[in-house]
Amino acid sequence: MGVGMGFACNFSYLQQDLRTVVFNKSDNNSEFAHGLGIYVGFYFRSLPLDLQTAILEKAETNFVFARGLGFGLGYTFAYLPEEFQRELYVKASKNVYLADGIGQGLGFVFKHLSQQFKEQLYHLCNTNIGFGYGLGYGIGYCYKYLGQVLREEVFQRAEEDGAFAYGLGYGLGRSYIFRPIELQNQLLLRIEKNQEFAKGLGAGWGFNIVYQSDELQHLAFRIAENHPQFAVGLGMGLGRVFRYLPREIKEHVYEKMKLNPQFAVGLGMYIGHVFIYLTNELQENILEMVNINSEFAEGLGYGLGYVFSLHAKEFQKQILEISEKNSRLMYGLAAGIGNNFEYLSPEFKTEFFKIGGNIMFAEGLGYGLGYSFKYQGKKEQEKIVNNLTFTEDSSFIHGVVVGLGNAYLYLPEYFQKELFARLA
Amino acid sequence: MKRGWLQNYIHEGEVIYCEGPASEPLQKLSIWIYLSGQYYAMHDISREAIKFKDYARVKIMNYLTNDFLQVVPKSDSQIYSFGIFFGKNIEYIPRDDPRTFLLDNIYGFMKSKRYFEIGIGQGSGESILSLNEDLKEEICRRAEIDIEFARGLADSLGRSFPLLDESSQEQMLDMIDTSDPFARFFGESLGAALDHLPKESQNKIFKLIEKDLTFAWGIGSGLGYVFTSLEKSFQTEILKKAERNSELTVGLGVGFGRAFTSLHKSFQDELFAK
Repeated sequence: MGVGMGFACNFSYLQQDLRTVVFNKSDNNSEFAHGLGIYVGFYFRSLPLDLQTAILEKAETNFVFARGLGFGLGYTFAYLPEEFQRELYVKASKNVYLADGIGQGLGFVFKHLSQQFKEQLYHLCNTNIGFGYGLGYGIGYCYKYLGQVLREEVFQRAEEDGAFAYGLGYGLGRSYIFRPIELQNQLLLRIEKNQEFAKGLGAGWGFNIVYQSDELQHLAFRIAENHPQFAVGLGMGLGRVFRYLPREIKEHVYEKMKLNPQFAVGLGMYIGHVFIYLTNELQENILEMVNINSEFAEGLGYGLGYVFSLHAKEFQKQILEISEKNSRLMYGLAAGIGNNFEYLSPEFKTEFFKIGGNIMFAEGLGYGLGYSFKYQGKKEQEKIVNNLTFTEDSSFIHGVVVGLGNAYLYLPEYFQKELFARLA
Repeated sequence: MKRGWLQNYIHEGEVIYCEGPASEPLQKLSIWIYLSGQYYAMHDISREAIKFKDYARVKIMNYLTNDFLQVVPKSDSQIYSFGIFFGKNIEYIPRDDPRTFLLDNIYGFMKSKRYFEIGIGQGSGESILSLNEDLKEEICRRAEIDIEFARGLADSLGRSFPLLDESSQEQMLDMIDTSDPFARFFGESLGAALDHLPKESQNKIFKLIEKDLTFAWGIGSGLGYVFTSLEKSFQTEILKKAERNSELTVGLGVGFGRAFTSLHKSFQDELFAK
């Protein structure tokens, strides 16, 4: 990640051939792509126009780069011309990864923003799941700089917004070892009350696990035994850095995967997310694991589905073929697709509804849509609500209901009531 | 001839300030006069060849402040240098209240020009120790509010850190708790100068990066940038610390990336292979 950032600092001064090498490297190393995106975004407006265009095009196809780019743009957002800010809002409404990054950058400098702008950002979290994740992450990472009032405000926010809670937990988890003991203890208490926060904390903790003392590593795995969502998160964090893990930690991870199904789901989720960046050998090993561990298969499917629309057509076809032979992989794939359904093109949406004939796909898609209901567009929400009849025996509806149930605590109060009314 | 020092005296033909020539001008000017073809050219690149007296600064800043929008340059690089000059002379800006940071119109302009803000921060950092307490406090407070100002201020304070006395150093280190941009960019410039500090100060900073992830990132970035010029034993010590500090590691990577084109080929290949 760091090296990518460093290259981007001098990006416009690099010779054309080296710039091409750097750009290409971002297509096969996710962390490098993330870092490159961050600093390219940071200096974006100083770059030549043709380079700016090339960068924005790359952000359409490389989601990790997009997330990094968003970060840099978010960090410097207050200094961007208003017209470009508006352009970014539009782009962020269509690109969930860019939105995530912009949220992260703004979260890093949250304390510097005016109260009015802060309110606007909170409002944006209600409609953009990526932005909610990102803003929470940035704020969590820079928690140290917040005053007491703002600290309470963000934790209150985390009670009402699942994506924000996850992000906040991730930012705090990633910086866990740098926090004072009292805060560490407070964070551990909070995982009892907020499941998305617990998942995020686990993910951040897992991401940095190789830098932690043996004592903290063991503590993380112990917590995961009793907290399913923390376990999912821990798996996700380790999944993100899986290719960089030393052999002994990898072995420990394989062992935990067999014992803790939630951990296996999480691990699969992030490995699926960055699957295309892995070596061919690692990809093959992972696809073999899908047949041995069904929870891992579900998670892997979710990760692959989460970024499915960005994959090349041929790879999409390959994934669908493999999924047809593995129902849990198919379920996860559809759930991941459903989670980001709002950001898909109309053609993609139609395509996916056609696959709805597959029971597992339909149930998974329903789950993803239900789980991210709050962040779906008004039209999509209405469609889901109008189709909700609990008497109907439909896999899709079943999935939606389970998804809604999982995200129930973060749903708006009026909708919670409506759900109960329908049950009655 | 309008470039360089004369630019500071004359603007649009109007004399702002005039002073008799120095007794031995050529000796002082020798660092910035050179022969270009058949012409003598003069560039005060470092903007330091001319030392103004205080009353000259007051006059110049009065002029620049009163006609701000007319004199402010257009390009980002010029605007950045202009900001540095403004920051260096921040105490000479006419103000009614000694705690006022900048006049409203200049502040408003600064918020729309990122590089001007960085420049003001950087310039302010260079003059901060000589400022009155009220203004000094206000400048430190601004580092909690204005992102790019904090970045510029942090950058110059980090560079001058090795030259400061112990109590001033303590004050600077306390400021890393104020904001992400300050901690990050202060760390970055301090990291590049870390090997010039006595062992005791180095250890104090290494202790701080165990508790402050943003500062750790910055220190890593600075160290990474000058890594190949460090002594072998110091390099080893840094890499050892990086094994247990994620943000120091990311920062080191940033520094390596920034310095990439000046690195040895084998090191470049190793970085790309990671």
